[in-house]
Amino acid sequence: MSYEREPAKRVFAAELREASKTIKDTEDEKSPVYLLLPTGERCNRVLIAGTITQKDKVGDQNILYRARVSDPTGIFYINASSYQPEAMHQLAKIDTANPSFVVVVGKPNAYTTPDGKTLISVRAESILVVNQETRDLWIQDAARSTLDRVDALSSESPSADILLARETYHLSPDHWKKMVSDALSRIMQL
Amino acid sequence: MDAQQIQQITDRISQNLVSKGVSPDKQSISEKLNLYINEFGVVPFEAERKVLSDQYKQHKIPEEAKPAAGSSTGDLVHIADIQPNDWVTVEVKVVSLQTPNSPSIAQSGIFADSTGAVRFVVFSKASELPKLELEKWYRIESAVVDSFKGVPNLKLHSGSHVTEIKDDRCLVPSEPTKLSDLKPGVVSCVHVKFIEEWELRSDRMMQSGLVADESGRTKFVLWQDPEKEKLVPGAVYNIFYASVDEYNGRLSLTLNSAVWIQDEDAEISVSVSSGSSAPKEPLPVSSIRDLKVGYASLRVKFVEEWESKSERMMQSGLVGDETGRIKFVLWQDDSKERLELGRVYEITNAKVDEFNGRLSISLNPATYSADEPDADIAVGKRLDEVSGTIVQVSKGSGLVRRCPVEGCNRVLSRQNFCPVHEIQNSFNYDLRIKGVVDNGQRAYNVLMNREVTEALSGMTMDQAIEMASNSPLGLEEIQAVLTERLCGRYVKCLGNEFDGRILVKSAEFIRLDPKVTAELMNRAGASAGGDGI
Repeated sequence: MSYEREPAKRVFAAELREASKTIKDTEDEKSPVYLLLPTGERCNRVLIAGTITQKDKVGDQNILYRARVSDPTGIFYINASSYQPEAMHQLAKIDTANPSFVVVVGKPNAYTTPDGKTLISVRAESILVVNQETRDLWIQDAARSTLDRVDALSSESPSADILLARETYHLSPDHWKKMVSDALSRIMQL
Repeated sequence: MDAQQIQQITDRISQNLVSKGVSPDKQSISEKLNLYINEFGVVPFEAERKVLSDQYKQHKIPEEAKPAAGSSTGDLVHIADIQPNDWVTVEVKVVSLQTPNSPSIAQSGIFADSTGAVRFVVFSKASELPKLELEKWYRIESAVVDSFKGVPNLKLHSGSHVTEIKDDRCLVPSEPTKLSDLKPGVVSCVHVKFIEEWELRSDRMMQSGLVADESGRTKFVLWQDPEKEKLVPGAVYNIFYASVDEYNGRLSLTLNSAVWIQDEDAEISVSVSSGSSAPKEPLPVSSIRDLKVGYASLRVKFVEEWESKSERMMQSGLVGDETGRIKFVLWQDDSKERLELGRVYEITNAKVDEFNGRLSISLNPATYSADEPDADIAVGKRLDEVSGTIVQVSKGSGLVRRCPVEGCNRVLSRQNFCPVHEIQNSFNYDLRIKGVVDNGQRAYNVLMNREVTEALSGMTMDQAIEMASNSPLGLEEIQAVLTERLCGRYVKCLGNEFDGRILVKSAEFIRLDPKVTAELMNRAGASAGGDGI
């Protein structure tokens, strides 16, 4: 009974925003819920980085912080409640009057609105202020991981997850490559 | 983003402010936009939203309230789909009630629906909620899903809403779960045979022992409860809604929450062997690092002998190869020879067992012989390299106190308690990081010693001691500081994997290499012809 911790997928905001399909391997109530990324990999933990632009505190009994973090491709919606005290304290300390770079490790959560739209938020396990170099390393890291996924997406011998992604999402590999190159162009040293 | 585009957004924001009767400071708006968009890589629409909202605050203009994303109640969810931290609405049957163990809890027990079961608590503060009755169905709105050690748990508080469901529903119990598939939480149904009754170790226990099905066996316990009846050894049962608890990596069933029905005509063929049978052929030699439960051949050096803890044990200790070390044991057997310390052995078909997540090997089924007397192995000298992000600085990181008893060095609890030598009046400080380095494909547990921790964090142990003694948080302050300085950062670690954890010998931060950006750009641009039509 050794427990394998789920690795954190590196995913840009513009891709995470498009994810809508969740997967459970078994009907067993304990089996984890994965989010199927449009590039064809499942994830139930993400590693993201960007600039924190806003945070709000809601509730008084059950405190919940919501934050918005922007990468070069879009926005991540982050939350941390009293059920993740560490992440909540870390977020509480971050001053958002001025922009700063943050790295967030957390669990993606899919929520379907009454009108059928799926919103993805990330429940932070940790959120920390970092310098620009770390953010730039993350852009490289996310670019590499995304390109690896995109390559696998058009493979001749696709996995079940890739087949499901092809059925579910209808964005071309070129769309994702363009997103990656847009993100990389932000850190190109000219 | 060029000045013209910044100008356009500046104008839009200015017009908006003018419409609210405020005269805008275009210079500062444009500087702010530039900072967010060009220095911090924020997407333009978000920068616009942020700057406008800051302006509203500055001029005390009320914002239009927007519904928040990502939280709602009202949608009915199945128990199988609830996720920690959700606010949920469920329709459930109370299948078990237990006596709460704290005055702040009014009721606790188990809810079930057709998809599964979950533990719940009702807080005493929520006095306006009706008292839940066993076997009744309820619709529960705005309950919070909490998680304790990864197990979801439903909390009903004063904001929750409970209505009894009057229509007659029947709960279809799910298919039995195999014991090999158990996970911590509540298991809706298991179909097991009671194979072994154990002596009771405490007055609070009513019965304990082993139950088994075709897939495996599990310890169970039933605490004293006048309402419950003991199980009959040898009988087969369907057990509904038992709690599954984890302790030291082992699962056990607690039956106090459960109901069970004896299955008179079922017979379960319980597998007696635990897993694989001995291979007939000699297996090829594996590295210690790659061992899995089963059988394996090894070429190892006997590096450390341990005192035998029991009459039945002939010898035990550590053997190692280039990739690591592993505990071995040799049970009393007249046909076996003791190993000689420092010698290198060829071991064929040893049994590899796992106990509490640790592997060890038993030499009794194996054949082994010593290599040439001068053969040697550089044990554990081959280093693994792991590069990735520190995604967690775990509990037990930072400044720790170690037991001063010669040769012990175990970490003491907050009360300076050593698991072996009990309360200690003195101790030795140490600085370390237990954490997780994740490269996107795998998450590695790492342990960084004082030297590595000091080098990465830029904080010496003496500074840490001073910081801890000046902080109201004490030692916890150090873990928080290490988290702030290191979590989320990219590192390259060199070390040895031992027992599922990499003992890091050296680590350094990964620096940004602009060439990598260019290479990735080529990869992304290689066939990018804009958006696919």
